[in-house]
Amino acid sequence: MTINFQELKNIVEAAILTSEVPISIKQVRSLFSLDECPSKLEIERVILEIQRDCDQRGIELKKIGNSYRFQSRTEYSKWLCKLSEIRPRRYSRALMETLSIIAFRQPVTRGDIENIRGVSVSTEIMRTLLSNEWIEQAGHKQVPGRPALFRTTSRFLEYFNLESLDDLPALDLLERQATQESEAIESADDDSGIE
Amino acid sequence: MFVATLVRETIDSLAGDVINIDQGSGHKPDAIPIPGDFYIPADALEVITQAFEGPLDLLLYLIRKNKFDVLNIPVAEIAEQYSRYIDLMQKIQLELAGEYLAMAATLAYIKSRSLLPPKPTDEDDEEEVDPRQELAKRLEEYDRIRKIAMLLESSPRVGRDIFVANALGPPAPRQVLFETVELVDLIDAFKSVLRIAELSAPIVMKRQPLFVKDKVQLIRDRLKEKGQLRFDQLFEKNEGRTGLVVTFLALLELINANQIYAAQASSDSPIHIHLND
Repeated sequence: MTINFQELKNIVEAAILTSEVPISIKQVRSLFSLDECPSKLEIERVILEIQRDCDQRGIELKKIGNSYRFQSRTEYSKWLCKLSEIRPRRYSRALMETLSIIAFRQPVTRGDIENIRGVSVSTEIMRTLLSNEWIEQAGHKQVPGRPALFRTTSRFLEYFNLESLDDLPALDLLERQATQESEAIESADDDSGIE
Repeated sequence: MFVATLVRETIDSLAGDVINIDQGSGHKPDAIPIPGDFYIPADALEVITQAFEGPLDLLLYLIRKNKFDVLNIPVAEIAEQYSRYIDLMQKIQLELAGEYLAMAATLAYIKSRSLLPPKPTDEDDEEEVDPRQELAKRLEEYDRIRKIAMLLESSPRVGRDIFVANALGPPAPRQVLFETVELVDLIDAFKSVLRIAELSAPIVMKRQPLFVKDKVQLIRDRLKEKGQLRFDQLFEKNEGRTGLVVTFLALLELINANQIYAAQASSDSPIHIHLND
């Protein structure tokens, strides 16, 4: 028995919408019995179609990691934020810097973070990052003392609305900056500037 | 961010005052006076420490303020300005993190090294790392992370800029993973423990006081360590009948208090005791 396109679209839409966490194509496929199971390609086509349908709507179907979820469009946050009683928590610069280091240089040890920031890592910050499940331990570095290594999680991607780590907001800016800098170095004088 | 800027400007103007006074009084570095009406409310100090995220942040701020090039820092000048800030922060009784002082030492070192003629090296290929280069590299790296953090801070976030849509699904059917264990099952399992114990029991037994309270603690500790235990593993067969009964009572006590629970995969598989989290 095969399911027609419209019906498949409805099932996929309902599945993503009613799932409490983002769900992957593999998970969507597992909802069907063997004889009716659509291919990965078919589901991708259906998802594309749903995304197109959303173009004119307040919600969009967003890919996070390997998974999909429906979410409001960012431009409506001004109104929507009033719905929620809890005000979003503000995070300190120190916390965001620590998180950025882990995201960009993962896996890293606390020592790596301290080297880059020039100050000791606050236990409080690490605890917050771990309890928010934005970071997790990823084994130990094979050096004396075997310090713990940290990396970001899929929860991190979900929270910051990223499809993958490549999607981190600063990446292309950094590359642009890097090329500008290398040009600057080439044209810079040898003058050291020390009196 | 506004508060931080404000605080920076405040410190700045104060540091500026100090510098002016310093220059006005004929370059006596030891006699930097603090104005008499100099007053900062106690809780403002905390804000100042938070205004800079560390020595690298303070350095970057100074470099940017002076429009210096990170790759080509006039170390002498920066070192001077930096130590003025440190002095000021100490004067207003700010407890400085050791990292700030370490950086001051590094700057002083780089400055003094630049005044010395280059060390003659025996081997040409053993090139010494220029501490100034190293500092520039660290500053660049930190600056990069600082910018990334700012971008990450402003990028859309769940619960602030985006809200996850969720519709109510059909009521989920209750999935029974484990068959429930009835009291009768526990007693049956206990009977077989008793039987095994009797077979392997020592003939002479010393009487020793046993308390349910102690057993409760013991079971809890063992489960905390192992997570779960097979029913018969909870019993110490050489404690004799009394010991077994006391352990069983302790077990029931813990189940009653909801601290542990018993489960089995099917009605004729062994019962396992789990710790309730």
